[in-house]
Amino acid sequence: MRRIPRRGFLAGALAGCADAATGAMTPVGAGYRPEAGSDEAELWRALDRMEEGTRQSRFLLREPAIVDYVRDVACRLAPEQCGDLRVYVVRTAQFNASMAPNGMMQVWTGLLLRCENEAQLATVIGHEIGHYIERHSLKGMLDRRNKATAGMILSLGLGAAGGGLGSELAQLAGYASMFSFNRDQEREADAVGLGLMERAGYPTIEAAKVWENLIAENKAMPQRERGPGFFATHPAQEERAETLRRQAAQQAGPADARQGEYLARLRPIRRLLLQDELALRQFDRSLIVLGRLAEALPEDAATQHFTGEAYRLRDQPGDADRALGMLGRAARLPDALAETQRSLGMIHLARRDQRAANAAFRRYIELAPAAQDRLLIQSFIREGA
Amino acid sequence: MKAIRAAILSLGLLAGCTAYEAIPGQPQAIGNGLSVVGEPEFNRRTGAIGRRAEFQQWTADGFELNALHLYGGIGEGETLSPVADRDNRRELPVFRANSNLAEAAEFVQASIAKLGGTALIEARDIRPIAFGGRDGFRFEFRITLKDEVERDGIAAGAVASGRLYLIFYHAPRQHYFERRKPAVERIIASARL
Amino acid sequence: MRALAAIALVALLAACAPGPHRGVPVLQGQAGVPVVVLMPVDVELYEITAGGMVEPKGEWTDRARPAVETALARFKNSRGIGFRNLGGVGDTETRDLILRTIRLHGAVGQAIAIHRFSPGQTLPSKRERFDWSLGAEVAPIGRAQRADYALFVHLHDSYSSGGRVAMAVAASVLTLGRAYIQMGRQEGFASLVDLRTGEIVWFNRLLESAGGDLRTPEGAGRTIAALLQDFPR
Repeated sequence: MRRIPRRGFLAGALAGCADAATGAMTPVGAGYRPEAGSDEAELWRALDRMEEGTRQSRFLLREPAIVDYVRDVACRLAPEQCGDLRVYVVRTAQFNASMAPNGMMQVWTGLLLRCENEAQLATVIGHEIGHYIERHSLKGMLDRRNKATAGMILSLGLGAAGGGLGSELAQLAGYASMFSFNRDQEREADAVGLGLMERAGYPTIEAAKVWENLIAENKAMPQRERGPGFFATHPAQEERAETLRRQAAQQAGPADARQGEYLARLRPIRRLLLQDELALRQFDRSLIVLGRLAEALPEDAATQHFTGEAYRLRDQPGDADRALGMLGRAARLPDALAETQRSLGMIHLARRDQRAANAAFRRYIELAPAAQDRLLIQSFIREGA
Repeated sequence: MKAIRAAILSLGLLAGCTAYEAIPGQPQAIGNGLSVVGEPEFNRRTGAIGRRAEFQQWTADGFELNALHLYGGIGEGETLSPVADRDNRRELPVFRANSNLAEAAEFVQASIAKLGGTALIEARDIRPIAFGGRDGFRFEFRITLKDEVERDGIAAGAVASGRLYLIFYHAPRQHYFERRKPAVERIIASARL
Repeated sequence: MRALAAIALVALLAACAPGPHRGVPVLQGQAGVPVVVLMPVDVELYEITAGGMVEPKGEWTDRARPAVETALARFKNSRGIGFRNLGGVGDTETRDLILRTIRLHGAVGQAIAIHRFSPGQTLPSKRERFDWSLGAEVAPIGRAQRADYALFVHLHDSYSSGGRVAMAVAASVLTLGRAYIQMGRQEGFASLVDLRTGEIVWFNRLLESAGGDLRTPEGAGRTIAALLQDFPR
């Protein structure tokens, strides 16, 4: 039973065993199609079938405004490849993205939540486009001495053949893990990504920040919650962040990370992203992400609300007070969520402050008369208290 | 890897002694604290599932198609999964004895999402009911698991003496949910604490 | 003595192992010859383990699909029934229904494979009856395809079971993947569904020994022949 580490943006540092990249291979240009009958054509065929499965997954986020935006960023970075790539946003609260050799690009919602600005999203997309342009997947496939792996890559597509049968999500993740790149290829993809960023006018320093943020998140997690791969290769991550930081210093000319644009575009789904993030119940880590978001958006009610929720649900000593403070602030913001009142009521109730709980619950029902839990919450309002 | 091997091993052993028995239409004890009236269209999985004697799994057509989980009491610090209690690395929510009904319902919903490994879960119609003669809660939910089959579910329970007594059911939306829903509603209505 | 016991055990198991389920003696067509529509074959080759890792399983190549399809075509031609591939599906609603039903079939087929074919896993409530169904919701597929029945074929590489089992333990409460590992290297089953009612009128599963290497025409042919043996006339 062989296990392949989960592949995607994170896998760079994971790929310890480096098969040397095979010979000279021309990078992919616009409108590239593999030669009929070649190995690469076979790979594409399998991937096309898999893509059919991706298209039909219930886990796809289908908001056109978000998908279009991600595609716009990709096109801004690599106008030459714009016509050849198809973007899929997958509703999974993990940080990852991938781009298959046939042009299927997947961006997970956990990545969208974690990027602080458009430049950081461009970092990850640019890196993936780097793998694509350099045809790393194909090189890896041809290179693999183990025929079984190549067979697996080709056969993966079969799972999706016939129109997305079986477990599409498994296929998404399976796709993500089927190529593992070696360290040289990761460096090459980083370099291509940085070049694309600079050309598109993004500050390349943001590339280093992506890694630094991830490292900070992982440090916040209790040992047992850290992913095996990520933690195991921690020094490699730090080294990578340093390299990127050094390379960024050479950038000349003006650059804009487009933070305002990014945050505004993500606004319609921010609540969903935060909700999914909290459902992971990795509160220590989520609080780091929320803290960064709160710095950028100090007046955002959803961010304040979910920060309060993270404390309320984590429920460690002192968390109830922290939650109360956060939620109280969230409740006073202009676009406050109705649920904030519900959470406040819960904390008041736990502290046996029935009068305050009554007020919060009443306000909740007033703000969200159609709430699914209206009847249950109403039952907590006790008069004469 | 070792953990996975161990898990496979333990299930292997478990599978060896897992079988199914008929459920007569009489009161069935779920541990010491809960009893429900059986429904003959369901079958009980026998053999040790996890370590809690007060946890039962019933099915009518197979667990892929309808699964009823009955808990004769989840205590302080325990989770919804008897296996996870032994090795809780899945960040499963932990039950607190002082939970109110909304918090208990929240605990159940979050646990199901976490166990199912999915963000695609939505709870509806969360309401207070009498469960086993006590103040209890009930809600319905819709969940998509990794097999991409959309399932509907019902959860109902009550907190008594710091323990959560719970029944929850889920089945594919197509055909199977409705097919066994009447029996499930009767089981929930028959609960005694 | 031990050998005798082993023989006795094998004989016992063989006696217990039921043959394909046959719910109807002959197929009935709305307009004379019954029409069977062949649903896209459901093939899966790998699985994610509980740890979120992917395990490659087996050495299928992209030759498997055409080989299976060729074998099915050969089978079709050998029958006097109006077999037909899934035709163009007009509206999104029917397309969605077909996809949903194929996914549901995966779950139903697994339940049947366990509870009808695995020793000791019988459900007492179903001892006397076989009433698994895909639901009357499938009727629009029959109307759109002008077919009386649909044949669903599901072929999974059973190496997936390792991952499934681990997952099942971790998520034993949801118990969606379970101890159906003893099914061998290939996990395969086929159902014939009455599109008027959704009932499964014929079902068979692949025995471990019967499956062939799906990458070769011979192997795929043997697999399909074994799976569809005893298919109703």
